[in-house]
Order: sequence, then C-alpha cells, then structure tokens
Amino acid sequence: MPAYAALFDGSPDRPKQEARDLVAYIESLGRARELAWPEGDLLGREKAGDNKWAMMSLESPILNRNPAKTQRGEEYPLLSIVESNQIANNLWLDNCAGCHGENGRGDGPAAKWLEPMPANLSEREFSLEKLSDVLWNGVHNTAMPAWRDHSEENRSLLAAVVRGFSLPQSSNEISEETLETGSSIYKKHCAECHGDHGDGNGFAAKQFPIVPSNFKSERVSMKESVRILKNGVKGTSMAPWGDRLTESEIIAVSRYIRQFFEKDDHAEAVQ
Amino acid sequence: MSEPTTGKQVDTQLVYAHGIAALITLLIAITFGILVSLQFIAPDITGNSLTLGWGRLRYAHTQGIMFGWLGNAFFAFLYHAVPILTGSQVTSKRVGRWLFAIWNFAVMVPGWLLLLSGVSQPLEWAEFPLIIDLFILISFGLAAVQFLPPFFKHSLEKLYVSSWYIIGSLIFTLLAFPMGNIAPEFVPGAAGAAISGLWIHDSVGLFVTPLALAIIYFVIPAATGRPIFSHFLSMLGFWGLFFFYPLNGTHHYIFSVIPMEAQLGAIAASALLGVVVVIVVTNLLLSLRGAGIFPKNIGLRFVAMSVVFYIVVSLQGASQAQMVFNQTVHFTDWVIGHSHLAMLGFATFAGIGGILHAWQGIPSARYNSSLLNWSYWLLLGGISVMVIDLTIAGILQGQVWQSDVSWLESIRVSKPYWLVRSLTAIPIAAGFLLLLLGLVTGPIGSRKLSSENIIANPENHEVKPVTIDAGHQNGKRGSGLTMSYLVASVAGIGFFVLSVALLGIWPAKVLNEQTSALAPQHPLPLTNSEERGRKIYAREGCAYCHTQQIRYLQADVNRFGAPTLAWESRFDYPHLMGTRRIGPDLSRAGNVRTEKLALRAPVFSSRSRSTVHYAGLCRPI
Repeated sequence: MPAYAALFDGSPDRPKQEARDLVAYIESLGRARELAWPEGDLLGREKAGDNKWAMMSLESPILNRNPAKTQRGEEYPLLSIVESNQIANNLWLDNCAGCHGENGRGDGPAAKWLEPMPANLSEREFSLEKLSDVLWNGVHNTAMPAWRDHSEENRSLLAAVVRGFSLPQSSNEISEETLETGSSIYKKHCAECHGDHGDGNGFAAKQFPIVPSNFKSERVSMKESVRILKNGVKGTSMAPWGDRLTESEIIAVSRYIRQFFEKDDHAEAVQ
Repeated sequence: MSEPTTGKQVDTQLVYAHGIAALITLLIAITFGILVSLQFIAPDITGNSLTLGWGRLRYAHTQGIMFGWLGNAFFAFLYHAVPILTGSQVTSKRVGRWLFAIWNFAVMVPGWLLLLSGVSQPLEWAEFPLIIDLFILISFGLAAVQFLPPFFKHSLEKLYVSSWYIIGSLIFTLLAFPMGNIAPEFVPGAAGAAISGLWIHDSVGLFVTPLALAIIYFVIPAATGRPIFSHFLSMLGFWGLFFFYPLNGTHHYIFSVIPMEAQLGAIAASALLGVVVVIVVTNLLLSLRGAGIFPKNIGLRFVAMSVVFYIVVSLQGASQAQMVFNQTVHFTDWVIGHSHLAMLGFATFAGIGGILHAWQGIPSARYNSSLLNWSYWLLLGGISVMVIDLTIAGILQGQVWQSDVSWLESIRVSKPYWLVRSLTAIPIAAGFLLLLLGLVTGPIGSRKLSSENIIANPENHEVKPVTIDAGHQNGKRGSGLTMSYLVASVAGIGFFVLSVALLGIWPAKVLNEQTSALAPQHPLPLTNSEERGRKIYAREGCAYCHTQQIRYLQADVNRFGAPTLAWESRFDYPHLMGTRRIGPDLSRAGNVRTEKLALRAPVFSSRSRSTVHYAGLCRPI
C-alpha cells in the first residue's frame, strides 16, 4: 500500500480536504446495503425469483465478513493458555507494535495519531475472556480492529505476549474506610456507565459508541487508574474528574474498582 | 495482378518517423512501467509525489505501450506494407504528416501530461481522458483515410490476408474505440463493466492482434521468399478471429454479477478462439519451415518468436477463461503475466519484426545487426523470466486467497517474485535501448535485406511482392466484386454488433431489471465530499489494486461477505469494479474501522517506510 502523504499536511491527524474526501468515500463503500440489511435482503429474496446467483448473495448469513470488522457484544471463542515464544514476538511486531509499541506501552509510532490512543498494556491485567474477546471482536469504534483471520493458535500466542507485558501490580488490599469512600463515589458517579458491578454495563452505557471498561475482566494499575481519573480518556466518553474529585477520592475509587476483577483461574496460573 | 513494386511507392520518411517515434515512446512507456514495478518492492521510491504515484504511472504505462509504442510501430509498418500489398501509394503525404503530428503531439505527449496530472478515466486500456480520446479517434479516422483507399482500388478476391487484417483492424477499431472509451461514462456499474470488458478484449483483439498478424503474414513470405503455407487457412483464421474475439469480452469479469449467460458465452468463445489461433499458428509455423524458429534474418526472427508467443498466450488465455482456473488466478499476477506475454511478447515482437523489416527497405537508414541481435536475446530472456515469474506468483497469490489465511500473507509471498520481476527490467530495458541504437547506428543501406535471407535462394534479391494466387476463382468480377465487399462488410460489422448486443446491451438490460427489483426504494447517493473522494480514488488508480466486486464464489464470500449485487454500484459513472487485487476487495470497506484517524493512517503512511512496525497500521481491511 503506497503512501499518499501529499493528501495530508504532515501527519494523519492533519488531513487536507482531499484526504477527508477520499476517506469519506471509502467509508461509504457498502453502506447502502448495510443500512438496508437485513430487511432489504429479505425483501430481495422474494423478488429475486429463481435467480440462483442473486440468491447466493441475498442468502448470505453475514453481510460483511471482513475479519477486521469490529463487533460489539458478539460471541467469541476462548483462547488457550500458551507460552510466549519467538513466533509470538514476531507476530506482535508484525501486527501490533505499530500502535501498541514494542513493549505494549501504547507508544507505537502510530499511537499519537489515534483517538483513543492504543491501550498501555503494561499497566493492565486482563482475563483470558477479555483477551479472547478483544482479539476476536476488536474494540468497536476504536482503531483496534478484529483479528479473526489469524488462527486460534496465533491469537493465543498474542494473548500470551500481552500477558507478558503486564507489570506487577499492587495488592488489592483496601481498608474499610477507603472501601466505603470508594464505593459511595463509585455508586454516585461511575455506576451509571460502568455498571453496579463494574462490568461496563451501566444503563447509560448503551448510548456510548465505545463500551465503558469492564473492571471484572480488566484490572488497571493504580498509577494508570489515577491518571485516567484525572485526565479522562480522549476519544471516549470517559471525562476527566480531576476537577471534581479530590486526590484522596480518586485514590479511593481507584482502589475500589480493583475489587471487581475476577481472577481467571488461568490468569492466576500464569501469575 | 499489379506489377511488383520496387518499394519506390513506400514513403520511407514516414516509416522512419513513426519507427523512431515508436522506439522513443516505448522507452518512455517502459520507464513508467519500471517505476511502477519498483513501487511494489520500495513504495516510497517516488517520495510523496502524487504525479508519480503508482496509479498515474500505471495509466501512463499501459496507454504509452498501446498507443505510443504499438500505435507508432503499426503505422510505420503500414507505410511500408500498404503500397507493397496494393501497388498504390497511401493517400497523401500531408495526411501522413498530420497523422504523425496528431498522434504524437496531440495524443501521446498531452495524454501523458494529463494522466500524470490526475486527469484520466479509470478504465482498463482506456485511461486517457476524453479530450485525448477525441484526438485518438481523429487519428484513427485519418489512418483509415490514409491506408484504406489503396485496398479498395483492387478486388477483394485478390486481397492478401495481411490486407484483410489491416482493413479489419482499421475499421473495427473505429467502432470499438468509442464504445470502450466513451460508453462506460454513461453506463454505470456492472453494465458499464460489461462494456469495459468488451473494450479490454477488443483493444487487443481488433486493434493490436490483427495488425500484429498483418505484420507476421507479411514478413514471413517477404523474408523467406516463399508464399505462406495456405491461403485458405489464413482466411479461415481471419474470419474465425473476427468472429470470436469480440465475443470474449465478458471473460474479464467471470463470477461477477454480470449475467452468467453472458459470462458462459464469453468463456465458450474464449475456448473456441484458442482453437482458431491453433489454426492460424499452424499455418504460420508451416510457413516458416526451413527457416526455423531462430532464422538469421533478425526481423524474421522477431516475427517467428512472436508466433510462438501468440500460441502460448492464446492457449493460456483460453484456459484461464475456464471457471476452474479463473476462480484461482483471477485478479492475481497471473493476469499481469498474461498481458505482458501478449503485449510485450506477441505484439511487441511482431511490431519489432515489422519495423526491422521495413527498415531494410529504407535506403538511407542505418541497421546494426550486432546490436539488434543482442536486443533480441536480451528481450527474449527478459520477458520469458518475467512471465514465468509472474505466473508462479499469481498461482501462489490465488492459493493464499482461497485459504483463510490473512490477506497480508499474499503480499509476503509475492515479494520475492516482485523483486525478480523488477530485475527483469534490466535485460528488457537494455534490449529496447539496443533496439533503438540498432536502428540508428551501423552501416547504411537496404542491401542488408537480401544478405540476410535465410532460404537458399540467392538470386532473390528484392523484396518480393506478395501476390496471391490462392485458389480463388477468377470469375464474376463486377457484381461479384460489389457482392463480396457487401458480404464482408455485413458479416464483419454484424459480428461486432452481435458482440456488443450479446455482451453489452443484453446484460445491461438484465442488470437494470435486477436493480429495479432489488434496489432500496430510496436511493442513498454520495455526499459531495464522498463524490469528490470517488474521483480521487479513480484518478490515483485505487481501482487497479482494489476491486469493488465480491465474486459469487465461496472463497470471496468467506473473506469479504455477501457478493456485490448490481444495484450497489448503480451510481458509479464510470464503474470501479476493478480487474486486479493487490489489496483486498473494498466493496464493504465502509464501517470496518472508525474513520477517526485509523483509516487515515494507512492512507498517510506507507508500509515500507515501516519496517514491520507500521504493519499494524496498514492492516488490510
């Protein structure tokens, strides 16, 4: 794929009108059928009569089979626990490092152009379920595509690499007082998006293009958590809270949400 | 039959002019092609320049080869052959000067400048913009005026097969060219693609092939001093080609949404065309007996190899049109191997043979046998390696695409083959350079001709006129003459009209019906921005790397989704269905990633500047 940097003003986040137009056009491809689907295809089947070629198209169960197309809330196959190795590292470099960085810190060369930025994987721990989900479905409405065209083996290897990036985190110990403070702040400000049980399924969550974090399957380090609460996550609906919560409140709720994390048997085994 | 001409009626100045122009435009056109091939292995080689972007260079390459190189080469040959075939001069020197000037300075030079500036049509073999098409049409008109009248001074029965091919080509190109270059601007989507398909094949089948065969049928007897093996077979071949060639058009869109009946008709016609070519080539090879495949006369040698290329590429074509093969090799580099075997192998070798032969008839021209000899072997070696390399690459690509492995694998697998392909540019470019040098250096004089005759016929020192005494009855001139012209014209035009009707008009009708039945009630046209984006997509040649047709094949469905219906491209004037996949199909590319920057990033940054680190950005689909 050649570059068309001349359509831009120095970087991908400074497109000239031509770049906007070209991307707009590409984004329009397949739109009409997608919008009409599935009713349009159903109607079409009645009208297509005995044209078996048209029926081949109209009876396709899945309209868009792009293996990178992100999906929200779809089923996913569970990956296996494997050891990382040279092949896994090469896969990472080939496919992921461009955004997530060589060591998964979210500092790949493309990172600064993306909104939201690629996750800093070293400050997170993921359950096997979460890794399986993201690698199969992508993260809908972000730049994280799906990777369904990679074999289960490859995806398991990538999951192993991701696990390997996680830096050791502080313990989940929490005092009664902090628990109470954290819990009440959470109920007041966070649950409506992140859900009463921290699973990202708050009643407001459905409106958002990007699903709020599910703390049951993802444990964010204290450092990262505090940073996010202060600054928000640009490109998502997570607003900054630095001006609404005190420092100690931020720390309290950060400690609190760590209680939601459900340790995979698998995650434990690796640790 | 008229007296043998001594070649005095040949306008050697125009032969020379077109010959040199042919070689110069060839060198320019292959430079574009070499840059294009290098961009496969080093995408940043032309930096950020849009003018030297892959798509624009590709357009400049194909149009340069077809019109610049082959066009000029054919004109050079026609100036030599028409007076000899007919015993009369071409119409006028003045027309000749206009034709030369318009062809090279109103078509080629401005055409290239416009293409590189982004003014073009994204139509295979028809990339020059409409304004240039107008001048091409004028030129073909002038060519008809210049070269046809001499033939009509004599009876059809006395026409040699080369004459038939010349007449056929000049007339049919006048019909096919507007169809292929103008009609798709007014017929959208798949229906327009059907017409495009007709032009893709007619450009080769009704313009290039007949003139190449005219050269071959002329040079073989002229150089060997013997008539061709069989006039009957040559005429059988002629009518067979003019009947079957136009009916092949839809084979460029097999498994697309174009009605299957049209596709099957084209596939059948492709197989039958192969049979016809076997007949033609048998005749030609038998005509070469004694001279062998590598005759000493270099012009004849190029022509002989052209015949070999012709049979190979035609059998290849007849095979790849069959669904069993097509499903794997369609859109791959196999197709590029095929088109180069046809244009660089068959047509170019014939064109060179024609020029070399005509050169020998120019008293003041230089002719350097040694350089020309080198040129031959360099070209033969280069193109053989190139075609074999691309054919293998195509098979590998096709196999990857049929598996469920990531698309990127097909790119990885191809890289070594693309490297080899670029390396073949060295012998090929060298060969063409030596060709040009061979025509402008070395000893002067046309006595070269007789000293290189390879048939042991030492008293045969002049160019023999090609007389025909081919078993035609001598009776019934007058009304028979008019009758035969009438029959020939009706038949010929009838075949062309038949092909357009069967493979263009009828499919369009069926597609319209399908669209009316299946399309959403309230169409969703593109916004102004999207419409502008479409034009950018068209002018940068995106449609030459990415298709917008998911085929009615399980492999395509597995990778991309539901096959594209006709109505999905009904607002595409002209269509962007594509005939090549280097990247994946984009029919359903919208809605796959967020627009915010993620899609812009691959448009901005190149995969090669990345080592592997950027690979994630350029994730296909």
